[in-house]
Amino acid sequence: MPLPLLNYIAFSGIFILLSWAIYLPYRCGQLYLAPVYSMATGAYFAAYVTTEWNWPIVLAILSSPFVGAFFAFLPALGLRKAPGFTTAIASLALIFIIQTIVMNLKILGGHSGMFGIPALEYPLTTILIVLLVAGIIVYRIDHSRFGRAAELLYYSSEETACFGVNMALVGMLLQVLSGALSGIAGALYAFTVGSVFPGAFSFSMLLVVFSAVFVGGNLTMWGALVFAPILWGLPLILPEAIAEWKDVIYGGLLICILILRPEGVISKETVREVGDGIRKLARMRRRVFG
Amino acid sequence: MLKKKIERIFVCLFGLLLSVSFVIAPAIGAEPVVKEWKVPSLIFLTGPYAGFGKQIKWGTDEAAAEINAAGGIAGRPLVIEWYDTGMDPAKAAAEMSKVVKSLTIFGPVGAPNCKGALPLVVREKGFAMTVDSGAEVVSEFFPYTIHNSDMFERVTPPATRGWAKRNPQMKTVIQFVFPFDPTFTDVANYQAKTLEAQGIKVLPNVEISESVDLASAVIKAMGQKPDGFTIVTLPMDGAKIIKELDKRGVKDKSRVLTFPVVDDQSFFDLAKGYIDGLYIWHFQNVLSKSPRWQAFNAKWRKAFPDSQYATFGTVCHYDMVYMFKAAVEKLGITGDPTKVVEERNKIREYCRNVKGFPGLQYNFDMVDGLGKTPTFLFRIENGERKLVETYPPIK
Repeated sequence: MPLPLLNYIAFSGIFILLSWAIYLPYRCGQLYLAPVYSMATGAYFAAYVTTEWNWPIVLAILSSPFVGAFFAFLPALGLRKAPGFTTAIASLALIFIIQTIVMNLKILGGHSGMFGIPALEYPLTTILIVLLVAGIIVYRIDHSRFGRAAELLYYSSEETACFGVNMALVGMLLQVLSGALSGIAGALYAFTVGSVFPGAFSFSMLLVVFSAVFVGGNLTMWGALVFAPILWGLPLILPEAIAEWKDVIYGGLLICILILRPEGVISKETVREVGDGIRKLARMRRRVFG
Repeated sequence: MLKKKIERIFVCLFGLLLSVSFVIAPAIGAEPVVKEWKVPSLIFLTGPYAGFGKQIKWGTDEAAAEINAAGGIAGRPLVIEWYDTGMDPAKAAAEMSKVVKSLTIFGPVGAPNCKGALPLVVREKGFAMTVDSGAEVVSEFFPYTIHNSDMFERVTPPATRGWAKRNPQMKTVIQFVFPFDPTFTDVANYQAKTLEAQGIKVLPNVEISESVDLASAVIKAMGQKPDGFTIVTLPMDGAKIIKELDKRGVKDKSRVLTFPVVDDQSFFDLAKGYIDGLYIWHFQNVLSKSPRWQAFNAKWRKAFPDSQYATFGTVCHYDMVYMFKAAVEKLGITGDPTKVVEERNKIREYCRNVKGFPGLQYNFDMVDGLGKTPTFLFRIENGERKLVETYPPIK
């Protein structure tokens, strides 16, 4: 496979995982911006264990969601019940905190970061497998009792309380799951790029995933799946004269979509309609071909 | 007898012909197979530092235009293909993946982009001429890249010592440091080590993020009652710090030293009227009398009327294009796609160790991928730089 295409798919996969990490806590109305923080922990963990302890890449990838989840669990103890705005501000601060911590840790390379991280032997297969497994987990959560409880919490905390749902537990679990997804995204990032450093995990990354979730669709996992590759890939194919306006395009899109279609381009109805369409096509195919 | 003489003449002639053929054969055999030399160049043309990127692009384009006007490289025109990386390591890596197998790549520029894109160059054993993004950052990826100036570890001490020598009363120094770029923190560390070796106490750094008001940072620094200050920040922040220091009684600016990044027109514009006496150390000598530099800078002033001198990044990239030209012509590179790996390795080795390369401001050697350039210490007098000392390259 040509290298540019491989790179595009790899980064698209990483951005989809990060977008889902934003999407999951948003299911219960939490604007949780810490995925970049958890991603940094996963990336540094993967970089350290493979370069310093010679762990196999597979083991590093398999362990990274647990590292991400653990580091998401710590702030989740305080943020589990926090309202949307508080969660947003507090989780944003986590990005500064992790940047400052890694900058001052010599064993993680300080300001310079870590280099010489080994590359994935089968990058495409690895990323597609991770994406598939993560997608199944997010889909199962969406369609479980837990997912429906989270959705109810999104619309009304009073009604959710009436149903006896432990709101704090729902919030915490979604944040921890978000941390796990971000952790593995971080490990994949480290193995794809080959270096990690504090500046890599910044707000510009957040802008892409945020746009993917809110332009793509914030009430269904499919929005991020479709729009993360589009929005991340857009500046790579835009002519130079237009590419300069990339941030304006992102911002404009975000504003327009939020005004005209607050649920994003792909809403639950869109998913249902597409599903019905596919079923109809399948029935027609069966009728025609017996 | 005559027969022997004729034989001898024939042998001599044959020997002469053989020698001549050895000399000219590479040149004849080195006829390029490409119609034009397409070289990808990765740079940030968007984002917060786009202004610097455009200046560097101008310098690169200028060199290419001059080369093409003079007949191109080995008779073929040079075409530079631009790739915008922004200041985004992921995008830099993606853009690099499009061009990593090229004969040579210009850039990427900026420490984050280098860290994002250069690992791919190492994996693919390519060659990226990353000439001005901090030698400490770039050297991690040697031998697959080069840097036009030496490690800060080697070039920082002489000028810092020069400044300390001119301020014998100075017993304590505090440093304002931009913490988000490893080059800045590295320089601050080397300056601190040098000053401490001179018996000067270096107080804990004051970290400066990009912000509108730097008064609190300056008050914090002044609270520790330092005798001297070094500024290792972005140019605009440097200018704001100078003004704040002035406001708080630091009128003798000879107690302040700035490092090369601060030396930008935006710094001079914003800090105008507050910088007399200030010391700046740099790799480039904008006061050079070199006719090439003078002509280049005259064009620069036309292109950027608000800026007095071309930036170091621009000069480095201009020199880089000429270094590529020299490599192609001296090594008889053909551009044959089937020989790209072999020819790329030759260019890389040439650039890593070229001796006496005629740069825009001075000639310099490349040693194992690092440019051995002199360092200069300037003092500002009546708003203008005055060269006070030149430090030869560290061997």
